Amino acid sequence: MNPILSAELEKVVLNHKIQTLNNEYVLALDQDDLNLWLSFFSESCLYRIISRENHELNLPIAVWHSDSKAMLRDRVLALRDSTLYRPRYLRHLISGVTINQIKDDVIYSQANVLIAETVVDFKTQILLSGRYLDEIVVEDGQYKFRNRICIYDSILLPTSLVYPV
Amino acid sequence: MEQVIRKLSRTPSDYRWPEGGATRVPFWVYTDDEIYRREQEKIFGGASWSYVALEAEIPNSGDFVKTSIGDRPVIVVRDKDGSINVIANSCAHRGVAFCKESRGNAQSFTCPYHQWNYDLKGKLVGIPFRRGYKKQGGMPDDFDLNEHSVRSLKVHSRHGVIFASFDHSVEPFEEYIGTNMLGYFDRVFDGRELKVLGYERQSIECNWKLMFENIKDPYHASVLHVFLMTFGLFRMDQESAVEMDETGRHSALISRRAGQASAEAAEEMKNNLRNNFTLEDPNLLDVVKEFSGNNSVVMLTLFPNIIIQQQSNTLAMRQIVTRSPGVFELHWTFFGYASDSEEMVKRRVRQANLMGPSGLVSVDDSEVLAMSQSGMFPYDNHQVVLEMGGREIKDTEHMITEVAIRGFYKHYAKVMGL
Repeated sequence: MNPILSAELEKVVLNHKIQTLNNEYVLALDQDDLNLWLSFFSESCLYRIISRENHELNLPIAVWHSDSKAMLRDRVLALRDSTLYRPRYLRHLISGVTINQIKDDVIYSQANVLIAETVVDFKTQILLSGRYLDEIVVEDGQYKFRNRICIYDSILLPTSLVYPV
Repeated sequence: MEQVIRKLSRTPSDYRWPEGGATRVPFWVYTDDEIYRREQEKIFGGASWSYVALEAEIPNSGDFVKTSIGDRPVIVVRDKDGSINVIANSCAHRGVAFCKESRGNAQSFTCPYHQWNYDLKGKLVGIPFRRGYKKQGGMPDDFDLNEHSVRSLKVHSRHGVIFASFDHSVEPFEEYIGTNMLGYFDRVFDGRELKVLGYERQSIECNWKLMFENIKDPYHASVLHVFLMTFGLFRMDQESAVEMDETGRHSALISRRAGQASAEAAEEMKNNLRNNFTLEDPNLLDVVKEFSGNNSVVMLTLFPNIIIQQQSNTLAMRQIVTRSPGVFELHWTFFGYASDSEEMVKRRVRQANLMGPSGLVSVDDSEVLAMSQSGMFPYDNHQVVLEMGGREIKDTEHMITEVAIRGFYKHYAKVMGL
């Protein structure tokens, strides 16, 4: 094959793979399958949900900060067994999946996200609008998030942000 | 529509506190528009000291942050001489909330609508076309700039924490807080330089007083918060105390960390105590002792708008901003000390997972408070029962009590003239 075409094709395939990874990730969340959600992270990982304000002011506090996969598992266990919350459904809309850079086997990418939340008995509302900043690695032949930061635009969140995003 | 009918159906004589004093709270204090309006005037706009910001947020002259007292927007700004001013964010001309940025640095403030210009004290210093143009228009000759400043508040800063009052005749801050509560305040704010670690904000669908009460209510912590109970962070069988100032408006919930629950305590908490729940990554609760004495938790509520949280190593100001009878915002400012090691900052950031809109503990509260509002609004002729720990109002050496909520409503009813 023409080497230029071949390189282009490789790019398209990779873009498609990262897009699929994102689609499968949000599908797991929308289906409330948190064990499946956990499987999207590499064994050593950082997962954070942080306001745009803190992010831009370079302040470390995040509404969710897990710096190990064990911490993510603890969070899931707490959600299932100890946290009180009203039942709800989530719907994630992902767009603009973009690979920014590939360096030393790490894919640096980003994506926009809009999450609609339906607390049972209430009107659907927008839970957050933001973007993911990601670092993706290959582990056991699968793409995994080594680092996934969700930066949400509005500093003001609704009553509670119960589930991971 | 329903809300309008409810309001019209209540006559002035209906605004009477029920029999039973502070052991009963009428639901309508959480739902009624007229009560909400009166709170803005008598509580947030009255002779009280409201928290507005930390000095660490405005270190240099001209630095400012925007915030609210009750629902009234104000600007906290450091003046050229280093002093701190708090002024209303509402132009003296047409009321525009002229300051658009959340924070920044300014030499003066200019309203974008007609360019009225104020100095950092809120004094009006210039208006365009004051003398008109070509002898036409302009302000009357006797228009005095000095009479058109934006409203300026009385300000007091203690050990880096800034408070303000709309009523300049308010008693001195230290007297307002009282000796005992001041001791707990100075325990965290001991004069060390503070460092802001970040902000979180959430809009909670309930009346603001429910949040304030929640931190005066140690009873719920031992039944609702599985996470706190299981890990012994705050539990009924711990050594603890509930203390108040003389008026009852401020309170401190004090607790010492405990190990395994006793058999008797475990029986009372059996529905929600998980003995098989252990953390796979103990770093989340890698607590180190950092204050003198044995207290591991001190939750201080200072009337009317601030909860000062010291839960293990998370330090936070939880500021209450009211929006309507059924909605308030909780503005969290997490902080540490400028002298914190990198390890300590990391610890505070990890432990912050328990708090805020996504907190392992706080989610329980914001959800149950929204559920309270849902149950109160349609039954607003009913009343809250507060008899846990007896009917009197005095400091206690345990946490199976609602005494601090009774103290709060005793003061609330007095200020509100109910």
